[in-house]
Amino acid sequence: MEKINKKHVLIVDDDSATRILFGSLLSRGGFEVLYAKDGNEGREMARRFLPDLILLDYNMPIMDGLETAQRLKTEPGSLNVNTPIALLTNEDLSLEAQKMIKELGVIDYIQKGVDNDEFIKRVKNILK
Amino acid sequence: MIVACFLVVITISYFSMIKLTSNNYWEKHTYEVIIKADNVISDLQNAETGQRGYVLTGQETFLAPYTESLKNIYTDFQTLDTLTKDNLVQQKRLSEMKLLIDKKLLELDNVIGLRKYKGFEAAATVISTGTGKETMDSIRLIETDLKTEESKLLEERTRDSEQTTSQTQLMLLWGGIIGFFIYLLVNNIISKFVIKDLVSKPFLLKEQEAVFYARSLIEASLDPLVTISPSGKITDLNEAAIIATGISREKLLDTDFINYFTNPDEAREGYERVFRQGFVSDYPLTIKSKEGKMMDILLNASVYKNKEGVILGVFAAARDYTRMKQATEAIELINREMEAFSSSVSHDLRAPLRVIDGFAKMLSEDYALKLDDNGKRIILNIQDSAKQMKTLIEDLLAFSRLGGQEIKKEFVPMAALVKEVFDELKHSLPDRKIDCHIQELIDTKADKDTLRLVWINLLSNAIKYTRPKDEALIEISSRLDNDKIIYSVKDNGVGFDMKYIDKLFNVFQRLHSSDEFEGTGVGLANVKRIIERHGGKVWAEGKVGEGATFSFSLPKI
Repeated sequence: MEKINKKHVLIVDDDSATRILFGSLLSRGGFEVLYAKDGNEGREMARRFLPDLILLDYNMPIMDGLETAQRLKTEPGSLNVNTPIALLTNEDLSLEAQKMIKELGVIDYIQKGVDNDEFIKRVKNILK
Repeated sequence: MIVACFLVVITISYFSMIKLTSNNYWEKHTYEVIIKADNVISDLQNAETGQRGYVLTGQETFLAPYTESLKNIYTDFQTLDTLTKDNLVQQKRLSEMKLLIDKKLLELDNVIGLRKYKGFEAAATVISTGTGKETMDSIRLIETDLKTEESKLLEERTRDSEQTTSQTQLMLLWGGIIGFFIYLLVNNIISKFVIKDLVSKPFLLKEQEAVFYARSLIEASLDPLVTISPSGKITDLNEAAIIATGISREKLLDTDFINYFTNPDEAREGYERVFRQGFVSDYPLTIKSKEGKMMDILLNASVYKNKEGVILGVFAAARDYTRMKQATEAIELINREMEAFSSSVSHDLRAPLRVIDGFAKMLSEDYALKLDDNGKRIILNIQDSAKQMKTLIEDLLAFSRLGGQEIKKEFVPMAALVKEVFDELKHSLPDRKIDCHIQELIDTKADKDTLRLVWINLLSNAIKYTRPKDEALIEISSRLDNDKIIYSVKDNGVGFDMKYIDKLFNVFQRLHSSDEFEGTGVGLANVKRIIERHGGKVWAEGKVGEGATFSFSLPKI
């Protein structure tokens, strides 16, 4: 029963160590975690498992976080149009970039450098 | 009466002088005849030596003195003939001599021909017959007669000349005495006219010298130099200008100065600016030569005026900085690449570092009960190092960002900024006792964000290195120095040894161990970079145990 109530979070990041770290933090924080290593795999997982939150790495090869978010939000037939998406970034985003992701329907961005506890706090805040 | 006597004396003197001059002429003449006669003989000997050399070796190089001597013989003989035109006996001797010379030369030529076409043996045989020597001896005999005759004449003339000389000397003495009186009489009148002439002559010479001197200076320059008329025509130039353009002096003169640049409009603006403001310095242009070769130059020019201050034209020097420009561009490219490299490395280091730090923290939190003290300490060490590395990466990223960032200048109320920075820094150190004096600081225009970074670095250093002191004293002041403002931060901290001053502002250079004082060695390098980008300088003074003073300059508003 508890398992069903758990929120599902999909982490899309090309760096496996980062995926595992954030995944571990999330499952430690009471979330069910799904993993994908690039944009395409992320879209497939999102379509199949309909997660409650998608965390997208901003810098990914081939299809970056922005493009992945855009496709999830706007592609015809996408099942994740209303799914909250947050970007994982290395640094502070410029105001321009912030505005752009807002327009895409990405609700937040989280700097990877934040402290473990802060990270979980931010995720919980989004899913409140 | 005096004038009459004087006239008599000078008339006698005049005729004596004429005679003396003519005697002198004849003496000179005699010597000339003797010398020329000797010359003809030595020319013949030279020719013969050359011929013998050729016969012996068969090498054409020996024929050079031979041909040279042939030319000289006839010129010398011609002079000799002209000198003795008045003397029939000597003329007769000369015509005999001429025949013998012709014969001698024919013989020499003949032998050379034999050597060339028949070989050494044939030529040597002719020489050994001795006919050549006979002819030469006859010529010598005539020459001796010629010289004897001339010497005899000379003796007579010298005797005559001596008599005339003593007569002239006597007359000149009288003339001198009388002349002296006349001199006294007219002294005043003459002096008035003469002085002017005497003064102007050396002046003329000096002017000529000055022209040569100026010309040599102009030509000595490796930089192209030109003078330009107010209408923009080239009026003078040096060799370097010819080389740079590949066009001859004649074709450059009186043509438009601007024609020889890739951008004529800029060139026009350049020399017109000289006429307007009197000079230009380091005005960049590119000369295009006739062959299409480019030369990047910096134009330095000024007007030149005549005595009345009227501008006559522009004197322009073009400093070739093609190579310097290329080198600068290459260095800039390398710098950009270096920065891109360090920036991407720093970025890439961040992700794994975050993972190390994140897992270490998870481990210490979730497994605290399962780990003994040693295990806990190990995790703490990992976390400390990760933290240190994180600071280093952030500093490095800031450093590489500073390289490419545009400086946006705005008005900065300096004292307020310094106070703000100090308060922020002090806030996190409630236990430290710091006496900070911020004097009235001169405001300036600068990029506020980066300037804040300067103060953060300098003040946090001052706070850090005064830590061993019970009471830290930090003093911030400013002063004007010509067109600059100098800001200083003085502390009573541990100071430093001036022999390491060169290292102080270099990236990653530290004068203290990390255990003693934490730090990455990037802070002061950042300060230097920011200040230099503002057109200022940084420097420091210090003494071990007696504090340090860090100063930087910014241009005055």
